[in-house]
Amino acid sequence: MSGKRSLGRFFTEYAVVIIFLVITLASIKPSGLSLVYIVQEMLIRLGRNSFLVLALLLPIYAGMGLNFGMTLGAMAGQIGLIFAINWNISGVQGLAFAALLGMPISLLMGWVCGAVLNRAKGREMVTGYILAYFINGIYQFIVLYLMGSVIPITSPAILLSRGYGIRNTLNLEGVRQSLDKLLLLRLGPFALPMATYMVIALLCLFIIWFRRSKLGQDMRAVGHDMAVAGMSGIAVDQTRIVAIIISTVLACFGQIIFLQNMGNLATYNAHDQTSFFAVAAILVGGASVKKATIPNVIIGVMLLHSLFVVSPLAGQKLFGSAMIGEYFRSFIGYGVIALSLVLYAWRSRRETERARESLRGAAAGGAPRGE
Amino acid sequence: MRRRRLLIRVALLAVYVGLATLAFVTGKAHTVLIDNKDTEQAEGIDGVLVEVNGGEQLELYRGDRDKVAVQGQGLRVRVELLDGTATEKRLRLPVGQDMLLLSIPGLLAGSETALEPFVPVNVAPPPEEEEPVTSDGLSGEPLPETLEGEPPPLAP
Repeated sequence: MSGKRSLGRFFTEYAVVIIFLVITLASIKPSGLSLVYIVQEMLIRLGRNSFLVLALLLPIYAGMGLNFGMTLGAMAGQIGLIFAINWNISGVQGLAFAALLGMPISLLMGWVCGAVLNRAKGREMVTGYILAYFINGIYQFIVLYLMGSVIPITSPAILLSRGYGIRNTLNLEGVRQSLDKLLLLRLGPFALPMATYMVIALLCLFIIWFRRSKLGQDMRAVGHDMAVAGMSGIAVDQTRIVAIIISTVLACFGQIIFLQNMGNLATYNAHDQTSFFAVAAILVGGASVKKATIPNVIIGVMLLHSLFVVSPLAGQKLFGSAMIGEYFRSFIGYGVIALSLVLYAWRSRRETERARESLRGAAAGGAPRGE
Repeated sequence: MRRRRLLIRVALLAVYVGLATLAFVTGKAHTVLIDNKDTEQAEGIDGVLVEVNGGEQLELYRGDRDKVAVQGQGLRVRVELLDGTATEKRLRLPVGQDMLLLSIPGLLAGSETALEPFVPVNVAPPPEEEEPVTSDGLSGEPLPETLEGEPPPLAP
């Protein structure tokens, strides 16, 4: 009976991971892709996306849920890249320059986001999501109207021919895969972007160190119970703002790493789904709104992107249209987020009921002794 | 305590500015046109191998011009004539200049104007005005279609 219950608990705990794993494995054969190709794609996408997904961890530790406001950091990274291209700075230095330029912007954005989220405690995710839309409007105003007119942009290659505003798509030729190719290790049929992996590993080490630091412990205490943390002398609001600031800055760096791998920048749309895919990845990896670890990130990125690789071709083979696979990706992404949130809400409710029942039981059992 | 904090902040700012400047100076890319045409000081060389910053060797004949992309401010040029005599020169590129012209005959003649800024005369016609695609995704408008008439793929 107990074994059956623990098996049931395991399935409810890892429902998203299991469903995803089953769909991915089932899609591999119809896709007709070789295992070598899928693994190579996985290795590339692991380098491309992991940094962005890792940026979600600290707000989860601080009990702020999934930081949909990370889009703000992504926009800051894009502004940094626009200036790097404008001044023709190439290679890893171009990426470093973009990161250095994007950092103060993302710091400011993180502070704004943290301050807003502190006024919407308990509804951080939806607030962050809508805040990203609001800041997107400001971003578009700056990039579309101020750049070239008020903010000096000299490169005709990136400027619209009317003299102000940035083009729809920018070619990142100068910085394209400069980090990935900095230390490319060939291992049989696979090419491993070791420099990118090292940057990701450094971030993982930072997160592990940070969790053990005083601020990290405070963050976890705040995440566990804000009232108790506040009573024990922790500056709750400030700690939450710090979590969001770090997450936003990391999202800025993550977006730069992502875009250098892609090789082009869709100026007005590249950041639109940054948080959406990062959140989907961490949830697919088995994380929840309250609990997430580094392995969740790695597993999530691998699982989500393995499905993204195989689903268009599987759709084409099974239904005769690759677009079905494309829509399937979108459906899966949104579906995973919805399923995870529903499961989380259901589990929380069930645990509350169980706790209440056990308290009632204890009270009923304890009453005669008390009398 | 306050003074110490201020000092740390100033030091951090200095490190930040220093790193940004370093990235700018060492990462700035230039297009260098390698020119083997007649100049006022010297005539073009009939057959020369030019190597820039240890990169690929360019084979130029009299009247030829080629281009290389260079990153950073240093330019190391190795010029090898067909008789086997080789010369190596080091030059500095101005930070603010995107495109420069390096005259090989001028360089070998020791001319100070061997490397000079280059402004292209025949500028390509500007590309057609494009309408920026900006959408907040909330208006319910259909996604922009690609040439094939299919919606664009999702961001990977």
